[in-house]
This record gives sequence, structure tokens and C-alpha cells, in this order.
Amino acid sequence: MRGFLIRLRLFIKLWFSSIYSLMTIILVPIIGIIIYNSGTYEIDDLSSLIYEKTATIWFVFIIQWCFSIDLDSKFFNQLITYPVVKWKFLLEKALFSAIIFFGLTSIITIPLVFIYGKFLWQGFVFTIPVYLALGGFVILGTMIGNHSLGGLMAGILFWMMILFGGALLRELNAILLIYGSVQRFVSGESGLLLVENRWIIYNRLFYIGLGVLCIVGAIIKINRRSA
Amino acid sequence: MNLMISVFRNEGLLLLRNKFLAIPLLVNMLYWGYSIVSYEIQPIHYEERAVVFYKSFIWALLINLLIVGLIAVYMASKDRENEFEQLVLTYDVKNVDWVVGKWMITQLYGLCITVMTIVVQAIWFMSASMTIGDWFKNIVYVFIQMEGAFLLLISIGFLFATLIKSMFAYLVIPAILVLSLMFPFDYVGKAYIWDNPKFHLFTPFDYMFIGSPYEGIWGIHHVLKSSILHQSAIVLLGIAVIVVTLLLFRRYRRSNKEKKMIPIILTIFIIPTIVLSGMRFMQYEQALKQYVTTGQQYVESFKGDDDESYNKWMNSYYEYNKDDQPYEFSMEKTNLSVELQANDQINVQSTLTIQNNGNEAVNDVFLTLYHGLKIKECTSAKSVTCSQDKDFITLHFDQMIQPGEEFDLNVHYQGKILQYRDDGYIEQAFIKNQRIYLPKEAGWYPLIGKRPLVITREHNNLYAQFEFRNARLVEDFPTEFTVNITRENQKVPLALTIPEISEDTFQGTSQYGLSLLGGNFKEEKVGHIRVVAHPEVIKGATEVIERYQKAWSFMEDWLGVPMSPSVIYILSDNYYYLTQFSANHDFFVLKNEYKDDFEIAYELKNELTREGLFDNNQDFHILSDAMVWMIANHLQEQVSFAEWYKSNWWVEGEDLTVVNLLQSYEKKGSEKFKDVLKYLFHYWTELDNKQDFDMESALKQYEGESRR
Repeated sequence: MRGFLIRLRLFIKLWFSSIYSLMTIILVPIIGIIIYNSGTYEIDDLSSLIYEKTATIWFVFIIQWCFSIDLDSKFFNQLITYPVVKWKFLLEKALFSAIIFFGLTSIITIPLVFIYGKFLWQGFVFTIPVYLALGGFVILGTMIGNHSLGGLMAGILFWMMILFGGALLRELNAILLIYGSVQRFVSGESGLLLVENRWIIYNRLFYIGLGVLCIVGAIIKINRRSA
Repeated sequence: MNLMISVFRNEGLLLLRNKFLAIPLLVNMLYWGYSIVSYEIQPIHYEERAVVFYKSFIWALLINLLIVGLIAVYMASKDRENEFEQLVLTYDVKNVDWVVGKWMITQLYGLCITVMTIVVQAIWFMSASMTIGDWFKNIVYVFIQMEGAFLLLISIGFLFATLIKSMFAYLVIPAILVLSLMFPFDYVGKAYIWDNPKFHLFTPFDYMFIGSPYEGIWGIHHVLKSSILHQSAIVLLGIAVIVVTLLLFRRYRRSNKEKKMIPIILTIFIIPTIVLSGMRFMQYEQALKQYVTTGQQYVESFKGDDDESYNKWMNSYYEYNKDDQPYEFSMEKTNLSVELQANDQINVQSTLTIQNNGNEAVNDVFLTLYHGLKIKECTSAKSVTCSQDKDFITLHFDQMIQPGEEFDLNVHYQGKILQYRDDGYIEQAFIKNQRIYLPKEAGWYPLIGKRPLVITREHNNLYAQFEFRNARLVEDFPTEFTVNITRENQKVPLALTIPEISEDTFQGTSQYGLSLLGGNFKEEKVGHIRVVAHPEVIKGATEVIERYQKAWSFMEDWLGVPMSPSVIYILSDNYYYLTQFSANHDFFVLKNEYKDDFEIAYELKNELTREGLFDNNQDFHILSDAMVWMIANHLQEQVSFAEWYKSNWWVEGEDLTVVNLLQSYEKKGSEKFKDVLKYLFHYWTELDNKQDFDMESALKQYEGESRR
């Protein structure tokens, strides 16, 4: 799509002038102070708290914001009367939100890596399948609801599910970094392809699959829309 | 009023047209369908229907709360966001009509989900074995829990949608749910220092239970009354919150009537809310207080100074086998005439026959009785003075009690038996209309010797500042019991660890002691064993117990130790955890669950080798693994021991000489292997210092003895 870079610049500019960015930028140090003061954390708890429990809901808000600009203002209804490829529009917005999200998380991760070591990077990478599934879920929700609200609700639902549903999800649990065996797996201490680690790989594959499925669903949904 | 009705109708129509709002109902339906079908297709049920229902109910409630809360925010803010509200404001619509109309239709939506749940429950519970009264109470319980929570959450949704005029209003709902439910959600009966169990009361539904509100043979009676109180307060609070919303919603366009009426209505609702929630708070606080005072009475603090001995001391809390020290006196006969009174009071006339089995003559004999029970009278043929200090009774005789001598003692005592466990969440001993439980651990009848009823350790990571568990109470000698029970209320059937010979009279010999239980249970015999369980789980329990029985008789033949109990109670999880370690060859407790052969084998092996569980002796652990294998192999044929050991326990680099040594015996035939293990087990039992156990030298000794 032509003009991608221009739109990216526009979006990032918009992002940094919106109340959202302001709030997240203020929230991050506040959370940091709370974590720091709570005192009794270990590296696995900390990485789980940041990447699995907090960053997920943050990502939901970023995606929702990215889609709300065109969808909630109904500009999208006009946009699709132009000769644009609809699924490209979808993926472009998804990409924008991913760029903003990964940019911000990296900004947080880099200083943390210097303080606590490289496990945080590894934990972040390990959680990417969950972000993928979550992103797919939110985008699908947005497309079904035809409003960023649908995505927001789907995202909150997904987030609460992974936060509380550990006992229901069992081996498909998304909050994994708190477990010692997973920590060893992520940091590469125990072999990646061992039999006892296979469930972790299946777990991640499940989230990747869920993410891809949701995005495909969202694309089908948007392609069926007529102007 | 007319306008309110038309707002209600119009919003209702919009809701009906909105296809997304059917999704939660559909999800609920599918979820319940799945839960019910997956239970009903099991050929044997190990759990009651109600257990499965309440397990699913908590999850359904959590997800419904989230959905309904989000929908409430949506309903309150959608017309502001699409700016329809701006138009409405120019019309002659009162704030009250506009907000309350929308609020009511949202409530109706919540009510739909509640009604759907209770219809599912009502139909499903028809096939459960409970009385019509209990069936109705269960429905009432679910209704008030769900509807109260929805009512409050919808009001909160409206309030925050009015206060926060952006998408962030939606975040308030999950934030409130997370904040209020986080601690009670994964609470297991021990609050940590940063948690306060009193705060668990601040939830949209009564969450003052551990795991599930349903307690097997006692149903939901324990939680019902307090839940009604809690939820009445919640309903009033929910109404108060929506009135506050009216107070804040576009203040400038309130009519004069609204300006006058709203504060008055608010006061009318706030006052009973405060009164009711205060009552509920006091109710729990009293239980917590009693729990803490009981704990403080027993608490043991750490005397050493270094970290290593501190860790050792902390770990010794779990050494159940050390709870009980042998005592030379034995309780030969115990005759109890028990009067169960209302309000957890008991009044007992007891006649005890006590014998000195030791070699020395003594003046003082000790008994143990829960400190809440007070001795009214204490007489004997010989002159005796009784003094009670906490849980201990000292009998001082002027004449010495000679070795082998037997004497009779009459003790009359009465008092309140109600005891709490787990931060006041669980009642451990109670006498109520619908449910009675007097476990031996409650110390409700005189036990011989100075026995700790509970073990409590100072613990600075816990809210209560101590950890607290029931002590393991094991008798050295069996006692002949005769128990006669009278009670004001004859409603529920009773069971004791000894058989009933005529109505309300029980007689028998037991080395465990007495645990009295009354509720919705059925008693059945499996072989010689009496099984007391909820009627729905009897069949599943029988299946498990038959395999236990196979293992018990095998172990009795093989090792020559008594194993098979005379009575088994099937209790709900929380009560199972409280008594499981006291079980011995006379009395056994089980949970309502399926157990596989290895779980049975491990459990029975652990019963025999409690002393070694915390040792680091590798040889001993291999021996106990071999014993487990032997038991499991009897239940169902397994691969050879060495192979089994390697696939289950072996870690790379571990030395296998000891396993190979055992394997060489296994190759000589199963009888030989059994004989070796038996020898090794007895060898280990007789060792003074279990750490010294060395398989190779033991086997050498075995060879020497068998050659002779």
C-alpha cells in the first residue's frame, strides 16, 4: 500500500498527542515504583507481571485505539468506497498497533535487562504468541462489532480469562513465566525439545494458531463488507 | 413514570435487535450443557451433582459478572457517545426516567441470565438426592448470589459510565472485579500477611468459603444464612449506587422534585445497607477472633537463633508422627450419655474406666478435653480431685494407682463446642439443626493422656501470625465405647465411628475414637467396612474402596500389620484435609474423587512410613518405591520394578546399584521379592535412627538370616 510511511508517521504523531499515550507513559513508572516497593518479587514473578499480566491489557488498549480512529468516526465507511484493499487496511492498522506496542515494551525492557538480566528479553519473546492470539481476538471482536468497543470487550474478556482461568485452561494456561520449569525452558537451561517440555511448545503453538485463526476470521469478515 | 416505561421499552427493543447480546446467553447455555452432559455420561459418579454444579457456578458467575458489567457501561454510555443523548436532553425527559429506564432494562438482562441458571440448576438438582427443602434452599442461594452481584455491578457500571466520559469507563469493571475478587479467589484458608481475610467480605457476592460453598453431606447450610445477609446488603448498596448516579448525572437539568427526593431516597437506602453489612462484618469478625484467640492459646514460638535450626523447626510442623507420645494409661471403657443442645452446646455424663499399663505406681493421671467444655462434677470410688488447665485435666488421687490397677471415673461436663479453622472460614465442630459434626480432633470427650489437640507455630508471613493444624491423635490401646445420644431436634440421622445398636445408642470397640456426624448421608457396608457418605457418591466410593480393600488385605498378609479400617467417612475437601492424618487402621477418610492404583499404593505406604517421609535417605526412598510398586502390582500387574523405577524416578547420573540389587531378588520370583521387602521394611521400622538405613548391609544381614 502506498503512503504507508506517511500514515505511520501520522499515527505515531497522533498517538503521542493522545490521552492514551500520556496515561500509559505515566502509568509505566507508577507500576514500576509499585513493583519495586513491593519488595518480595523474583525475576520470574516480575517478568510474568510485566509481560503476561500487564502488557496484555495495555496491548488491548493500543489496538482498540488504532482501530477506533477510523471505525468509530465512521470514516471507514467512506474509506472503503475508495479503491483500497480492505484486508490491507486491516493488517496495516494491526501493524501500527504492533509497532507502537513493541516499541513501548522495548523501551521498558531495555533498562530492565540492564538491571535484572537477559531473562526479561526471553520472557518477552516467549509471550509473543499470547500477544498474537490476543491481537487476533481483539481485531476479530472489532470487526464483528464493527466498532472498537467490540474489540475492547473481547480484549478484556480474553485478559480476564488468562488472568483467572488458569485452573480451567490447565496446560493451555497463558500465565506461564511464574513456573520454575518454564523459566528453565525459556532461559534455555533445559533443552527446547525435551519430552517434558513438549507441552510448553504445544501451548505456544496453540496461541499462535488461535491468533492466526482469529486474524483470518477478521479478514474474511472485512472482505465480505460492501461499501 | 410513563416516560420511564417508554425508555425501558425502547431500550428493550434495541437490545432484542442487537444480536451480540444473545452471545452471553448462548455461552451460558453451552457451558451448562457441557458441564451437565460431561457429568451425566460418566458410568460411575465419584462426585455429587451439587459439587460439579457449584464448581462450574463460580466460573460462570465470574464471567457473567464481567459481561454484565461491561454491558452496563455500554448501556449507560452508548447514547452519550453517539450524541443521541444531546438530542434527548432538549426534550422533556426527566433524568430519573432516562437513567432508571436504561438501568431497569439492563437489570432485566442480568435477571435473564440468573433465571436461566436457576432453571438449569432446578432441573438438574431434581435428580440429585436431596430433600425438597434443600433443593429449594440451593435455588435461593444461587439466585441471591447471582442477582445481588448483577444488581450491584450494573449500578457500578452506570455510575462510572457517568463519571468517566471515555472508553476507560469500561476498564473500571474488570478493575473492580480484579481488586475485589483477587484475594478470595485463590484463598486456601491461610491469609498471608499482605492479605486480610476481613477484606474478603467486600465482594459483589458472598465469597466467604474455600473453594466451594457446598460441603458434601452438610450441603450449603453453612453459608446460606450469612450469604442472605451479605446479599441483602449488596442489593441495598446496588440501589444506593444508582441513586448516587442520579445525583451526579447532568446535575444542571435536575427538576426540583428530583433535587429534593434523591438525597432522601439515598439516605433511606444507605442506612439499612450500613446496618446489614455491619452485621455481616461482626458475624465474621467474631469467628476470626475466636480462631485467633484459640491459635494464640496454643502458639509455640521459635527459641533458637540461627537460620538452619529455624528452617528445621518450621519443617517439623509437618511431622505428624511426632504429635502423639505413648502414655502408659489406657482408656478401657468409655460410657457417654450425650445431650446435644441448640447453639452448639453439649452436656455429657461420662463414666470412664482407666487402667495403668505401666510398671510404676503414680498419683496423677492426665486426660485431655477441649477447653471450651467445663467440668461440673468429677467423682470416683477412690478419692480424687480434678483440675482443668486449658485442654488438660489432671486427676490427683490420694492413693497411688498401682500397675495393672483399674479405676472408674464419673465426669460430667458441658459447654460450647463450636470451633473454627482456616481463619474462621470453616467450622470444625458444630451442632446445628441440619448438620452435626463432632470430630475426635475437637476433643469433645475425655481422651487419655496429655494430648495436643492442635499444633500451632508462630509464622510471621501469615495474617494470623501463626500456622494452625489439627494434631494427629492416635490411641495406644483400643477402647470399648457405649454412647447414648439425646437431642432436642431429631431431624438428621447420626453416624458414629462405632455401630448403632438401637436408636441413638452406639456401641463398639475402636482404637481410633469417636467422630459424630449428622447430615444428609447414607451408610452402607462394603465387605466388613461401614461407609458413611453422601447418597450420590456411595457407588463411586464403593468402587474405590474395593480396590483399597484389596490393597489392605494384601498388605496385612504380606507385612503382618493391621491396615483395614472398620469405618470410612467420605467428607468434602476441607474436612478431609482436617482429619486425613489422624486416620489409622480403625478409621479412614476419603474425598469424593477417583483414585488410581498408584495413588492408593502411595497413600497406604505413607501410612506405614510416616517417620521417614522427610528424611534424605536415598536407600529408604528406593525401599518405599519398591513397596509402592509391590502394592500397585498387586492391584494391577505392572512392568518389572527396575523398569518402572527407571521410567518414573530415575534421573540421569543417579547410581542404580541399590535398585539393581533389589532387581536381582525380583528375578528370583515374586514370593522372594515380597519376602525381602518385608524383611527390609521391618528392619527399617526397628532402626532407632532411620537415617542409618543402608540397603546393602540390610540385605547382607537378610542373606545371613535366610541361610541359617
